[in-house]
Formats: sequence, structure tokens, C-alpha cells
Amino acid sequence: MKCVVFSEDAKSALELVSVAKHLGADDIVAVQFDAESAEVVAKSGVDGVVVAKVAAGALRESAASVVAAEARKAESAVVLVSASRRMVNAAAIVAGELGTVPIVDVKAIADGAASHIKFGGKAIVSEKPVGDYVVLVVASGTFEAAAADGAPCAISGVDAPGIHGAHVVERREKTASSVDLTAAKRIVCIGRGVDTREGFDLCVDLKKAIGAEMGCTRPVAETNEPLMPRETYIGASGVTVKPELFIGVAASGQAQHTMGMYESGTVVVIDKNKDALFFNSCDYGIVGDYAEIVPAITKALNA
Amino acid sequence: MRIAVCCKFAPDAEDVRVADDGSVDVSKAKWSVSDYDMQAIQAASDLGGELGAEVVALTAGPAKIDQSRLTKDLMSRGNLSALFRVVDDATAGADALQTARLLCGLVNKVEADVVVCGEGSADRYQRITGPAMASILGWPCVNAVDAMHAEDKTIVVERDLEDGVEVVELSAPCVIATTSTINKPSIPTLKDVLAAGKKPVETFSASDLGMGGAAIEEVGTAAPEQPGRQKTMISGSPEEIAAQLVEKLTNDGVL
Repeated sequence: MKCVVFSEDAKSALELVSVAKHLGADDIVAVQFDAESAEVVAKSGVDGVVVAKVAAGALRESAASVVAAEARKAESAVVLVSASRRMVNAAAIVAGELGTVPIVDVKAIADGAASHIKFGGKAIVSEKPVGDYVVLVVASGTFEAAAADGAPCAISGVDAPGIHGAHVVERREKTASSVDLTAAKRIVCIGRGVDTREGFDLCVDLKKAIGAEMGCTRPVAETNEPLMPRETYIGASGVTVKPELFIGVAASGQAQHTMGMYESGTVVVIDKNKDALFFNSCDYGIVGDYAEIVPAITKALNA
Repeated sequence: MRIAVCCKFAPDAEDVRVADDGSVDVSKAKWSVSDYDMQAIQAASDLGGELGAEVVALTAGPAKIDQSRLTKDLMSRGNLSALFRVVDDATAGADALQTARLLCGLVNKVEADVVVCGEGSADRYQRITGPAMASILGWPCVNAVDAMHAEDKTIVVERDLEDGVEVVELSAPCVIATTSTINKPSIPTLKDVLAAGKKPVETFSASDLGMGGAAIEEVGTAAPEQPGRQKTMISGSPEEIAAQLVEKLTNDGVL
């Protein structure tokens, strides 16, 4: 079976390579945007790497036609795409050229069917693409990355034709976050109830005391002046995490959020509402005002 | 110039019941306009104001969406002049490609120059309807649009992407999918609500426009598996709670 792996960086490419191998693909080609990540991926046991050269001023999604062309070299293929906003758009372009639509935020693949959530996490839907070409956008952090320590395969370059009618005039880059929540062993996650700078600082003190990273729920990431950036949103359309210790602070535990952390080792929930949904899926629950509880825990840890 | 904004009526996720065997019961769910469509309608209306363009709403769904409560709610939003819709039970099992085909059929009927979609539907949240429509129409599409304005005939958008902000100039015809944070939709006034009921609605069947075959088949639905949790509640004064928690976590080997 042929698999084309399409991602923006080496790390997500290696996760997708691992998925491809798990699916039993015997012909895996990776499409990357730059030579550096291509060189890393070339050592992961794939059969070929293509660097899609996107013209200056063109949308990176232009690379989609290179991916579709690579898939069409075989009569049937599975295209695995890394999950980001731009890549969801790119996946749809690839799928359109292959006569299908992508399945997005795939959390598991079994028996040819891909699963993703529906109703904000209340249900998991399994779907099977009909037809020769399948495009799956795989949620990050769902699969282990393949090792990149083998003999490198050949790397080729292909020019990607631009997309007519769209012209990139500026890119204002964010400094890449040094935090990778998917690798964090401990996470303190703030919910909607943490809505002051003082409260936020209390949670920062806690995270320092435990040696944890910080994440948040969707409402926190989407306020007008968010306390935390969107990349730290844990949940259905954000990051999936599996830390050993997860402490939810003033988050009610809506399905959209818990879907992103339900495989955590130990879950501690602090919320002032005794009927909060989250208490149904915690190991240790504390009903109370986080502004009193959190500093007490920090103090006990630092003692 | 005409702008078409795509909207979806879906059962409220809160009212949906999923049994342990995976059976999904939407019978008690109230239907409403998808949350994320509100920002799209506002964005389309604001763009329409800048371009001097009419803004129409497009939707497709089963017979259940033919309720005057739903129509009035939708049409009271933004500055919508008309609703073009597919009402057909054949859409009930439609996948994203089939839905995209129907909406593109409506786009062609209304001769829209710009299509605006929200971030994703409230129930499936796959975020691909807009891009899939663009593929069928052969138009450029950008998603994650967090800001946009018109400069003459060009639409300048800012995309809020994980690696930064990307500013893109688009020329019509094009498809734009917004974020859920692009704007705060204004609340309809009484005047908007009263006017909503009088706006023209044109209805088509799926066969009028052509739905085509499915690309994806649903195999099954399940309630998500949750690992068993202790659900031990810890109470007392903040100091007592803290001491107990630290002790338990240390004993568990987690701290």
C-alpha cells in the first residue's frame, strides 16, 4: 500500500511515518517544505522524500498539488497530513484533487476506518473513505514518532505551482514556543474560572513548584485578551496531552476539553462547583475556591 | 458583487445523548444555527458593507431545518438579504463532499463572488466544508481568517496560524473561512427580528442541484472510552486539603 506523508516539520512527519508503518504501508513517500526537515525524515525508513518548493508570495498550501501527484503515482494511496490550520486547508486541496474529502483530527485508525470526535467530544465516529484515495489529518501527539537513525533515502525537489488569486504579502512569525505540551510529564491547566492576572500568577507559582507546563481550556484561549496563547489550548481542536499528572484549575470539564487529556495518568480537579462535570473523571477532586486552594498546595510543596 | 455565507443548522451538542453502546439519541435535541456561523455571518456582512455587496445565506439540511423559528433566528443576524436553502432528508446522511456539492450548487444559483464560512460546524467540526467547496468551484480558499477588509476589489485577510500571522491578498472569486474570534457578532435588535420573517427564502431539493455519491461512509459511533478514575474527594481547610493531596500524590509516585 502506498502512503504519502505531508507535514510542515520533521517532528510531525516522523509521527506520520510511524502511522504509515502501523498501517502496513510498503511504499512511503514524505513531502516536506524544506531541505533540513527532509534530511531528517529521509533517515526514518521511508522510500523517498520530496521537497515541495513553494514560490515566494505563494500560499504554502500550493504544495498540495505535489502531494496529490505523488499519491496518483499509485492506483490507491493513503495521504497522512499533520494537523495545523494551514494543513487542514492543504489537506482539503489534496483531497479535492483526488476526488475525496479529508477526515480531520483522526485520533485512531483501525480496520481501514478513521475515528474522530463528534458533538464536541460526546461521541467518537468511525468513518471509512470510499474510493481509492484517502486523506487523513492526524491529530498531533496521538502516535509515537518513528526513529530517524537509518540510512537516508533519496531526496528530490519539485516546484509547486502557485494558487491563482491568493498572494501572501506578509508573514509575521511568532517565536516558536519552547513548550511542548505533548511531551510534558506534568501539566497545570487553567479553565474559565481563572480570569484575573492575580489568579493566573497563583497558577504559575503552582506550576513552578511541581515542575509542570501550563495549558488552558478553549474559553481561556479565546477571550479578547487571553491569559494564555492558543497553542496551549488542550482539547478537541487543540493539543492532546498524556502527562503523568494533570491538575485542572477552575475548568468545568466540558467534553471538548477532556477529550484532549483523558489519558492522563493522575487527574486532580479543583473547582468551586460541586456539580462540575470534571469531578466525574478525576482521581482527586477538590471543591473550593482555587484562589485559596492553589496557593496552599504551592506552599505545601515548597515546605 | 454578491457574498454568500454558508450556515448549518444542527442539533445542540449539549442535548445529544450518547449511550454506552454508542447509540446516539438526538431526538430530544433542540436545533439551532451553528455557533461558529455567527461570526461568519457578521464577517460577511461587514465585508458586504465595505464592498457595497449584497449578503445572502446558504444552507442545506433535512426537513427538520424547515422551522420558522430557525429561519427567523438565522435571518435576524448580520445584514442578510435572503436565504437560499436545500431542504431534503437526503442530506441527513450526507458527507462533507456531498454537502459541499449542494452548497456549490446554491453558490452557482445565486452567482456569488465570495463565499464565507465559519470555523467549523458545531457538531462535526471538521472545518473542511469551505475548502472542499473551493476545490469544486476551482477558487482559492484561505482559512483561519481572523481579520479582513477590502481594498478596492482586493480582499486582504489576516490568518491566525500556529506559526504566526499570514497576510494574504485575495481576488474574487474566492472562499474565506473565518476563525471564531474574528469578531463579536452584534445581537439582533427587535427590528432585525421582525424584519427576519419577511426576507425571501428560496428552497431547492437535493436532486435539483446534484449531491453525487459519498466519499466517506460512517461505520459506527461510540461513546468515548474513559479510563476508570478514583473520584476521591478531598476536603477540609485549604491547608488540610493541600497536605492530603501532596501526601496522596507522593504515595502514588506521581510527585
